Amino acid sequence: MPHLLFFYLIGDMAEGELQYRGPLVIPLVGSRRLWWLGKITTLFILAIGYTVFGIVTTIIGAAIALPWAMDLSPFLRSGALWTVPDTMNVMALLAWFVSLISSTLFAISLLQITLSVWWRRAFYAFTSISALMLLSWLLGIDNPILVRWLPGSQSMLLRHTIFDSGVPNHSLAWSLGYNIVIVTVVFWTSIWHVHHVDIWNPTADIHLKEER
Amino acid sequence: MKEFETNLAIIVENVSKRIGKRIVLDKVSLQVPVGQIYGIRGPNGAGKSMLLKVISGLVRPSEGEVIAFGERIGQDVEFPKQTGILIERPGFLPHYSALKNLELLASIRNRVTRDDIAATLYRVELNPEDARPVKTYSTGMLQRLGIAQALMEKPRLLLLDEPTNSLDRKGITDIHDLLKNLRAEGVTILLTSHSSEELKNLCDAILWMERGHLESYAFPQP
Repeated sequence: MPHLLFFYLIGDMAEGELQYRGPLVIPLVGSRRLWWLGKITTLFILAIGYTVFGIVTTIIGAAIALPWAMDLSPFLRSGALWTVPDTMNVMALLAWFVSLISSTLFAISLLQITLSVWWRRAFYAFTSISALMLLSWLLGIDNPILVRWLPGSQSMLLRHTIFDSGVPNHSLAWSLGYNIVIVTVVFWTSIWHVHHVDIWNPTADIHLKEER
Repeated sequence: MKEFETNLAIIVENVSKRIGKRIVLDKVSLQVPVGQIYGIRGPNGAGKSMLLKVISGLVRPSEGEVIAFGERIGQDVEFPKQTGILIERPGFLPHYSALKNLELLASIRNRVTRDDIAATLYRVELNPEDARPVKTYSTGMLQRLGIAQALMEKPRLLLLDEPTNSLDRKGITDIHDLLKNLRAEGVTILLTSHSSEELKNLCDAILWMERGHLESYAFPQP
C-alpha cells in the first residue's frame, strides 16, 4: 500500500505541469528533453527519500515500543517463516531493503509518468500502474515460479530465494537488474516521446473536443 | 542556420497541423517583418491560437517549417530565442504573489534581476509590492501578469493570444500603448484578437484565418 501512496503522490507531476505550466516553464528551460531529465532526477530523489523516510519512521516507531538491537532477532533466524542466511546482518538487510524498494518505486513510477504523458491523462496512468502492482502481488501468492517475473515482487525482500526457498532463482541481484532494465527501456522511450510531444493538452481544447 | 532575410522576424512556410483526423492548420504561410505588429483574426476554432503555438515551438507542426530570426524551430532550436509567449491562461502558482511567481520563472535562466521584474510589473500597471496570492486576482489582473511574464526577459518577439481579453477599457488602452511602445523599441509582435477595431488601431497588417487557412491580408492605413 505505501507503494500505491507514492504512485498517487507523484501521479500528476509530469502531465499536470505539461498541461498547465508547461507553456510557461518549458520554453524557459529551452528543451523538452532537459525538462524531462529534471522530472526523472526529481523522481529518483523522491523514490529514495520516500523509502528512507518510511524505513526511518518505522524504525523510530518500533524503537519506542521495542528494545533496540543490532542483531537479527532469534525469531527471524529460527527458520519458522524464512531462512535468513548467517552472513546477513541488520545493516545488510536494511541496505537491500532500501535498494529494492527505492529502485522498484523509481522504475514503476517512471513508467507511470511516461504513460501519463503518453496518454495525456495522469489518472489513467495511476490506475493502470496500481492495477499492475496489485495484480502482480496477487499473482505471486500461489505462483512461486512467476514471482521473479512480476514487477510488484521486486521490492518484496522476503519473496527472494535467499529468504524463501520456495521461490526459485529470485536473487537480490536479479531484482536490481530487473529494475534497471525497466528504467533503461522506459527512459529511452520517454526521451524519444517527450522530444516530440506537444506542450498543451489537446483533450482540453474546446474546439477539438467539439469535433470528437 | 538557414539563410534568411534580415528584415523578417518570422517565416512560416506551408505549415499544417493535424490532430487525429482534424486538420487544424492547413498549409499556412506567413512572413512577419522585424519591428511590426501583425494581428490574426478569425472565428473560434479557426486555428489562430494553434498557429501561435506552432510558431512558439510549443506544438510541433505535422508539415512545414517555422523560422524565427533565421533559426528553424524544432531543428536549429526547440523554441524561438528571446521570445515572450502569452497563450491561453498561464499556469501561475496560485498561492504565490505576482512578484514571487515571476521570480521563480526568471530563476530558470537567471537573465533578469528582481528590479527588472518589478519594473515589468509596473509597466503593466501591477504593483510588485502587492503580497496577495495570484489566486485572489481578477481575470484582468491575471491577464496583465501574463503579459508581464511574456515581457519579463525583454524579448525581441512577442506572441500574444488575445492579450486584451478580460481587460476593461482602460486596461485595453494601457496594453495598446505598451505594445505600440514595444514596436517603437523594435520588438516584433504577432497577436490574435476577436476585435477588428483593436487590430485596426494596433496592427501593421491584419490576417484573416478560417478553418485552418490563412485567407487574406489587410494593411490598415495609419
